[in-house]
Amino acid sequence: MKKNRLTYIFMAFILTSCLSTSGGNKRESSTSQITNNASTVNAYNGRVLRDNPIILSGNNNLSPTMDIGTLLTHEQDYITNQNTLIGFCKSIEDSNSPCYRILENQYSTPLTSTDYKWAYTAGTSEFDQVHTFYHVGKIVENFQSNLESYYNGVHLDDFGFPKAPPYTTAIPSTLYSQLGHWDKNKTLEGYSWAQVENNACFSPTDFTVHLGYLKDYPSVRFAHDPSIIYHETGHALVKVMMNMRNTAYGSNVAPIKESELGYLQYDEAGAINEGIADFTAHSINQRSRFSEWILGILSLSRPLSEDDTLHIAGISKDSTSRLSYPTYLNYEPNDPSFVIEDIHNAGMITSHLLVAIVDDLMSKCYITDRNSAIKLVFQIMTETLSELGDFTATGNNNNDFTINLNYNHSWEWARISKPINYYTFYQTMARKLLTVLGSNLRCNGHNYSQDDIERLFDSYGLLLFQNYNEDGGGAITGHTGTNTEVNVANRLKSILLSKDKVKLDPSDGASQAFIFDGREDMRNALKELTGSLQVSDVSPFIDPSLPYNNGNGKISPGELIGLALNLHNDSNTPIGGVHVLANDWDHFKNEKPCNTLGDSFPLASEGAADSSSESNPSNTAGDCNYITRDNGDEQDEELYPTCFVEISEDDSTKWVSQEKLRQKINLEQHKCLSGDSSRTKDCFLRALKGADQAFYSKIDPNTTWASTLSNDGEPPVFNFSNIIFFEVSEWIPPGTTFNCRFRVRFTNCSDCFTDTSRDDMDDYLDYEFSGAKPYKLINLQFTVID
Amino acid sequence: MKKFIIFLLFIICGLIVWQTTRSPKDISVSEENDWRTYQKTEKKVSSHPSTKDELDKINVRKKENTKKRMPASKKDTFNGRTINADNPDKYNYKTGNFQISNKENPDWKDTLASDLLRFQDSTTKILIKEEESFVIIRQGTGRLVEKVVITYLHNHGKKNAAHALVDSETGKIITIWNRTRYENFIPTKSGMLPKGQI
Ligand SMILES: [Zn+2]
Repeated sequence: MKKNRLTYIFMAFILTSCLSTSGGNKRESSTSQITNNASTVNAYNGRVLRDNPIILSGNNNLSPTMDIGTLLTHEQDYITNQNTLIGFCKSIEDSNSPCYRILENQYSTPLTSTDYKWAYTAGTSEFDQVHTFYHVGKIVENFQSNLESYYNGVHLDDFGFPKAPPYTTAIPSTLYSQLGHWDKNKTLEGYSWAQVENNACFSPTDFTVHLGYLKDYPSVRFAHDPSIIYHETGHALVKVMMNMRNTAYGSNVAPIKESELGYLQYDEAGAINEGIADFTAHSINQRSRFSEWILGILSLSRPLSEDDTLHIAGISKDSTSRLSYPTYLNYEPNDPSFVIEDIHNAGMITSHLLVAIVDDLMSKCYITDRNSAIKLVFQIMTETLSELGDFTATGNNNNDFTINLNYNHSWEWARISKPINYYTFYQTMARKLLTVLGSNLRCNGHNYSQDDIERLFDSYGLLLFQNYNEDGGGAITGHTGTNTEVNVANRLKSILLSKDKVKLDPSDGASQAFIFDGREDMRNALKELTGSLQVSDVSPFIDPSLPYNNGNGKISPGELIGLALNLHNDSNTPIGGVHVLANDWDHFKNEKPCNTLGDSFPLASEGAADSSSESNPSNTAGDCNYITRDNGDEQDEELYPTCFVEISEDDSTKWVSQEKLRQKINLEQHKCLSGDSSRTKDCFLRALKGADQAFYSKIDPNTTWASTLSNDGEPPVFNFSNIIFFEVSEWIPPGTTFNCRFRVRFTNCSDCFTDTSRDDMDDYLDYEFSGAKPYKLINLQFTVID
Repeated sequence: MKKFIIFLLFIICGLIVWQTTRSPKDISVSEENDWRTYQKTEKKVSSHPSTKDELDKINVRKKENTKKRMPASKKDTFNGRTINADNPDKYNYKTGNFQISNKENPDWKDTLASDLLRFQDSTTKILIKEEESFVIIRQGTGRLVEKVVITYLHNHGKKNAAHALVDSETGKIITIWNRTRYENFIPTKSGMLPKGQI
């Protein structure tokens, strides 16, 4: 390090004597315009757009082609004392592997400044790199300094020695020694001129942020709007926060996989991620609107607070008029008559609540500096994400607490069995608020009370939980602790509905499910699903040309099909976050379907497993009334596919496992869809892993999802996250009938997360999500025909 | 003698300058060799060591610069593979006191590549990078697994990357995570309409 810097300074001395300016295409400046070059700044300084052009100019109707150079002022901005655009964090101070770095794009070499000056003509690539570096640095440095002061308060005493945390915390004591405060190995790299059109992305594999350009105005870069830089960097922070415990767990036992917030095109975890990213922008600029410039040009800016003028009439900060869940999940303020299912729109509920928590903390804890309140919210968010993303399943430093079932299955729990949604996220966040700020005058010398939390969350329709679940989800300890119960008097707007309110459309002649089997459609789907790495395990018997797909809207042998249940909301309140699962689960005993799971199907005469001698609940593994504690890994327990099949036996028909059908028709084991003789359970009908779940953002009262999402009377286009994909074996005898027992839940559900059979209304334990109890079971029967 | 000392000083200074100013690219050679590109031709999948152009497209340079940052604690290994164990005390993995359920197969990457290209057209390329080899031990049994980065280079310029754990024998993907997430601020119209109903 030292050697490097000395050499650079020496070289800078030599080179500055022969170079007067560095880099950049020279452009004629108007008389009033600032000349931004090395001769007009001091060492380590440059000039950037401190905000986006709309804010800097005060003109809401700026032309996209305006000259951003006119917005620079005489004042200089400190950039860096390095000779390249790199920034350091605590313990990450190697210039070869810094904390963050900015480049023009992913192909380019770093910009260097021999004179340590960073002033370039606006509009050049060099200018945009410096500008991006300045804003990424703001976010990263804010995040790191806030995290360090929080860590110190939790884990260190006044002399800097380790101490016992003053409360239950998800922040690991090994955070810094294991580099859990950042990506363990990677530099966050930002590309100010990424070659992506009308787009930007965060790539977690290489920890990179790509800022694109507007297709219609290619010189308008997404980086020119600092809000977009903050948003994308916010996604990187989410990744860091979610993996703190995983990274810091220790070398040989640290989980290999990393946690993510969002898995599909639409899911609530993804919406929360977008809301946090928008809030990250607010944490710097403290405004009530996200991206006035870039998204403004596209007429897609997003408000962050109810008092923003972009909102429709009727939305306000009054507790009865907040942007509440689930009412506003599909709301597009720029075109209020248009209904849309998109994580950015659904995420606005999160960004609004986070901003509202800042306001509330300022008010209830008498905080005068908004920045301090924002820091508190980031600390609470770090606690929340660090716990929820924990694949070690320990969650926090309370040894009795468990989350995400266990170490071996935590990834599956986070992906499908109990993913983060508006219930789990806000229950955890409420608990963290209560733990950290609810007592011992830790909120600026005051307490942020349980009633404060509940009233605010309720005004957003997000007081969806009945207790704070301090005792976690462990099979042994999950009901042993004392949980703080929600004060029901605070639940005025959050309406909880029984899981029975979601059902297949009961109207006369209504379809039960939609089928997608067009050859071109499905070929494209397969190309997209595999090409985006959502799906990787496709049966060797599915020919890429999909020769069996006939597009007749029926399910035929050999096809790859998509299926979407025609779900209906049988209540007078909207339901949100409808989640359909088609993964393997615990609903069979000895190759026979259990009928003790709430749907009373099938009858004993139709082939149901015999459970007459079982106790209920049972302590005997393998029983219908016993739910696997280890997702099917313990002896005598096995998970079964969602779909099973009807066969004729002894002059009657029986529902049996797919394996039984295989035996009956003498199909060789290796001809099962898996192509693997040892995997015959899903021999004939198999949900594609990765596309084995579907999400529906919202269903309005007394109608279906399709009509909720309909615009101008047109049926909605189904996204991949609305469809479950199945492989259909070519060996199925035509005329064979299947029953798929889907598990369905939704977020504002009274009994999908809370075990209402318990007096204390504690949450279901994690293992119970392998079974039936937290779900509405929906049986769909169909006959496979040619 | 004096001349020799001046010459020596000159050489030393030169070396220091070279050492401290060499571009990150120079460190990348060994990393680049770890990458392989696969593409579908008429009937089979062909492969070659990834070219500089291909590596540029997926930003390999960045990774070389990340090699040096490692926390203080070192990982235990077995036959050169990082051990990942859920219960290190019980199964005494340090002595190799566990069974291994699969074998190393030099062709695992080819199998993986042809699986990944099955549903893509011939313009799509994939790049596979081995990040780390593991033996994952659960309940006394080990499984040899490769942690890789898979990157699709689609013909329209878009790339999609993710981490994956791959079985070292079969080349089959066990798990995928860290998929690239595009914002798609302008919502895409990539959906479908049903062809029928039940
Ligand atoms: Zn985003």
